[in-house]
Amino acid sequence: MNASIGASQERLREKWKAIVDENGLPGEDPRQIVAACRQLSSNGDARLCGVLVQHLAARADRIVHAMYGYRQRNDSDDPVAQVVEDMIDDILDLQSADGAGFEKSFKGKLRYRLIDKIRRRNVRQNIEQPVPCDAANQPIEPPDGSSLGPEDHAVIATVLGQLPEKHRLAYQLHEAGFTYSSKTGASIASMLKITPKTAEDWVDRATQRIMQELGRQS
Amino acid sequence: MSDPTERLEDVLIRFHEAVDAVTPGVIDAWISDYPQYADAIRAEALEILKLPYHGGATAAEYQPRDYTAKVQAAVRHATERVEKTEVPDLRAALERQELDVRTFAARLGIARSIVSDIGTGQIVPSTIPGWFKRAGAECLGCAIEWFEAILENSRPRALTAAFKASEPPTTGRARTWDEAIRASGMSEDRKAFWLTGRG
Repeated sequence: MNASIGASQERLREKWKAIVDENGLPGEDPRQIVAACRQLSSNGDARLCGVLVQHLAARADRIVHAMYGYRQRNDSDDPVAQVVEDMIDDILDLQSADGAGFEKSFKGKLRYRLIDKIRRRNVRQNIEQPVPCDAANQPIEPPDGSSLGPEDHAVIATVLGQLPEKHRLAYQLHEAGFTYSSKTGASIASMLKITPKTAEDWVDRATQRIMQELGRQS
Repeated sequence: MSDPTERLEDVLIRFHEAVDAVTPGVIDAWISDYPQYADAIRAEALEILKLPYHGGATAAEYQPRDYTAKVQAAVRHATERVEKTEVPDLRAALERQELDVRTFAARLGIARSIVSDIGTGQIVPSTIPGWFKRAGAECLGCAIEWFEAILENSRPRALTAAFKASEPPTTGRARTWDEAIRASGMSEDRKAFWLTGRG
């Protein structure tokens, strides 16, 4: 490594040491921290690198937990920890393209990895979404929320959590502005690969179920 | 305009980085840019919608995990790896990423002859500018320092003597970066870019 690169490494080290000393890491873009860590790692600055990685791990843990619905930790099945630990290894592997990828995308890469872990776990466990049904063995549906308070939203969230996954997705897409069908763009039917009639049916049922629950609570 | 050679994983990671809320406009825009990945983009959007329903606890119940032991072990391992790792030459480094000289040069937007000459030590490594090293490191997905080590380690190939030659073959004088760029077949715009790093 030539002298000019050695000097720039020293400047980099001083810059990040100052940020750490001033407790400024939370205000820094995590992608910049990853880049700094990888450059410092190649120069053998293990201590400073460790501080940066420790911060990134804590930050990633919070971000991924928030994405994952703050699931109660289960040490035997913890995709959050797996995602964060893989991130730690990749960031410190200078030959890893995944590690370099975290310099461009932090949150996005974490979410992509989390979804991948969940998919693989579900395939291994052959998990199928349970289908909650009412007394008539019909799947259940949600309500309208034009003037709802916090308690109402809590009820809706609970009901949505009990719905069959695809019914819930149909409702979520409907709430997000997707039409039942569309000739030109994305629709509930195209997203879920169902007919428009089925899409409308599922959204209607979800709506009715939520209305029922809100009616019971009031 | 999207890059048709962009890998699915890279597209999906950018999708996750860019998208907070799944809306029809977002899906339409991404599928319009990447029609070849339409099904995967839709599936990924559905997974985003599903994520919050894996939970059950609340933010108030969040218990952060302690990664100290993991970080210490990973840093130690990385330090040992740096000390033991044999630096490849450019061609070997490309092969590890399942790339060839042609594809690497195309991704960087530089003449294949330049990459080939770097790989055989025909361009003096110390004259290679920082902007090429940054672009090359990004393309290979490695740290700039690692890429510099690769460039330094790219040596001329061993030459064999021609039949009835009276003298052993020589590699000739290695050229500087500027000389190689000026002598290449690139357009003047591309030459100017690679000579100055601007354009």
